[in-house]
Amino acid sequence: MSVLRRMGRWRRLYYVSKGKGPFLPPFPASGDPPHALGMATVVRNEGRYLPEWIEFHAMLGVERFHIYDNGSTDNIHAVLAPYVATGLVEIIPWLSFDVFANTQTQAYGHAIANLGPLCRWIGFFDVDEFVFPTASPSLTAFLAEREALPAIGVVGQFFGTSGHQEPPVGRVVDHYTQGVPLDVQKRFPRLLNIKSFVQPRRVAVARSAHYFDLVETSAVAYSEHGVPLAHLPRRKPGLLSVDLIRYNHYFTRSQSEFEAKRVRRSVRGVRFKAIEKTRSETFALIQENAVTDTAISPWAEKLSRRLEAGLPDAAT
Amino acid sequence: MVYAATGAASRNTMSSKTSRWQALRQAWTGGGPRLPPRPEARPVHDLGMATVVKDEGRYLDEWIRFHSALGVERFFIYDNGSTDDTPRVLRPHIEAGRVSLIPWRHFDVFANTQNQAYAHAVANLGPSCRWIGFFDVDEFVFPLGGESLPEFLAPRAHVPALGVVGFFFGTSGHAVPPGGGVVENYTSALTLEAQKRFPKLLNIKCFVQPAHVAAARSAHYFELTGTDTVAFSEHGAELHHFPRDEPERLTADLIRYNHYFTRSAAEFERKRVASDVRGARARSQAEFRGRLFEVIEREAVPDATILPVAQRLTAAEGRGV
Repeated sequence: MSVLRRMGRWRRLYYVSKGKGPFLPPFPASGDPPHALGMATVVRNEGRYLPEWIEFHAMLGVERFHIYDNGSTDNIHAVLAPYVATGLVEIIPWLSFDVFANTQTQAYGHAIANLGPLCRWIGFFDVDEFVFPTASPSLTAFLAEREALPAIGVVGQFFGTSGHQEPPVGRVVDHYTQGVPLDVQKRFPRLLNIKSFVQPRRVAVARSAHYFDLVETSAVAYSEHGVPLAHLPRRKPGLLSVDLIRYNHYFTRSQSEFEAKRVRRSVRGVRFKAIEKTRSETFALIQENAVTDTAISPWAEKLSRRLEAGLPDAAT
Repeated sequence: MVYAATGAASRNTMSSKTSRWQALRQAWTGGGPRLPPRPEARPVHDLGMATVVKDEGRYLDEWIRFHSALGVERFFIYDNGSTDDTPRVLRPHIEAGRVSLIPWRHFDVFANTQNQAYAHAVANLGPSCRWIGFFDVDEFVFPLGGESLPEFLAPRAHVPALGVVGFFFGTSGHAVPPGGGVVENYTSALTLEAQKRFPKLLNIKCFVQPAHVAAARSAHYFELTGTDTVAFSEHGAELHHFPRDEPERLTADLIRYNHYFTRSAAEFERKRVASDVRGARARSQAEFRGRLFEVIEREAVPDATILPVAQRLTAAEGRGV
């Protein structure tokens, strides 16, 4: 808990009173975790997109998923039943139960403590975010080379509607092919985001959806090249790259779906007008600047072949 | 340190188990998470139960079957890091749709893990259940008139929370765990009069209507919306924090729970010094528990109140009812 001790008394009080956290307890001593990589995410009515997301990341080496269900009404248990039966997925009900807590970071803290003992690494990505390495055979291989680092910050690229007014039949990774290049995102810093893979034992505070306070350093994550990133990573765009790993953020999906999302509440709570405006501005930037981006294609093809061959859901 | 200075939050809710940081959070929040406003619920079940467990694999099946037979339809079992065969024991109940097993290791240094779990249950199990009971796995609650729990609660639909008085059961002579369940083996308990002489042994546990809960506050009762009352007794008397300060309102004529607190002497010794869901055991807390044990063992008398109920339930199970 050195990060907490380094803070002054008043900053600790501020953190607690603002509901920042959870502040993770020290990890109980335990043996080698049975799995290399797990993923945790908070969802609400993503039944249509969950199976593809799970299959894609299971193909890349994720062995356990914790799905925190923030009040889905689209029969998530039926949709995920085959994955739950094999032990790949665990669904945890997660309607907000603490008015002062951020429901999403609270779920992430829960995942660190509960999925952490089972997994050497945990990835925190949303269901519209597909993370993939571009120079490694799997996510587990990419992370295995970086065991020395407590957290890896993966840079994301926003994907637009790619001309789809209505949801296309078929997979997201096949049909949404227009993404904003990284150098353009660097000109519009609000489009520069990271999401993290962390080693649960080395995390101190679940501070946001994007990164965690770490035990041993004031950095919030390390880049794919091992460079420490500070809060806010977008302030040093020169350190951010997508040479070895990236995630595609299918932020808009189809036009009609984006319209619905724009005015909808999110896991963080009530939708404010300011956030609605921000979402609209972000949408405009993406649509103007997106170009064809096929970096994910090799993985998309492998996913097609894998699903056609009827391979088991659980990653080997 | 800044402590909230208004109303119920100004009472000292710290137990000796509370760390300094938990104390600050509890003082700030009044014990546990404050629940957000929830949409109108359409309950499909009359009664659910929520409990936090750790390594209770040996005792879970009996507890679930007993309360299922009394009308509890859904169970949320929060697993605080069990390393025994709890998942295997619960598998048939999970497949039957009765039980949801939710991992619940301690994940926030500032939170009371049990109060957090209880708030989670109110928010997540609440929408589907008219009532939720918050009882531990060593606590068996039953009405004394032969009715089921939903039948007992139905006439009390206007009551936001029902506080049930508990009876501490001792080792009944068992030095090591006997074969069989707790109900048949542990048959000596304190009387209500004895518990009133030692007020620390005068406890309630609650059934709540989730929509009326404002905040989780302790394992024993909740903060209710719009009132200082924390629960109502079986006769409708208002109970306040602490209920033991008004012992004349605490009766067990209509409903009670048996608290198999010690089980066998060997198990109690292990529990006395072990950690629990609130965290590591402070030495003062271990000594306090030791003193409770002495009182219970000294004052316990035969108590067979639960036996006819258990026999009736077992017979009904046997008939496949």
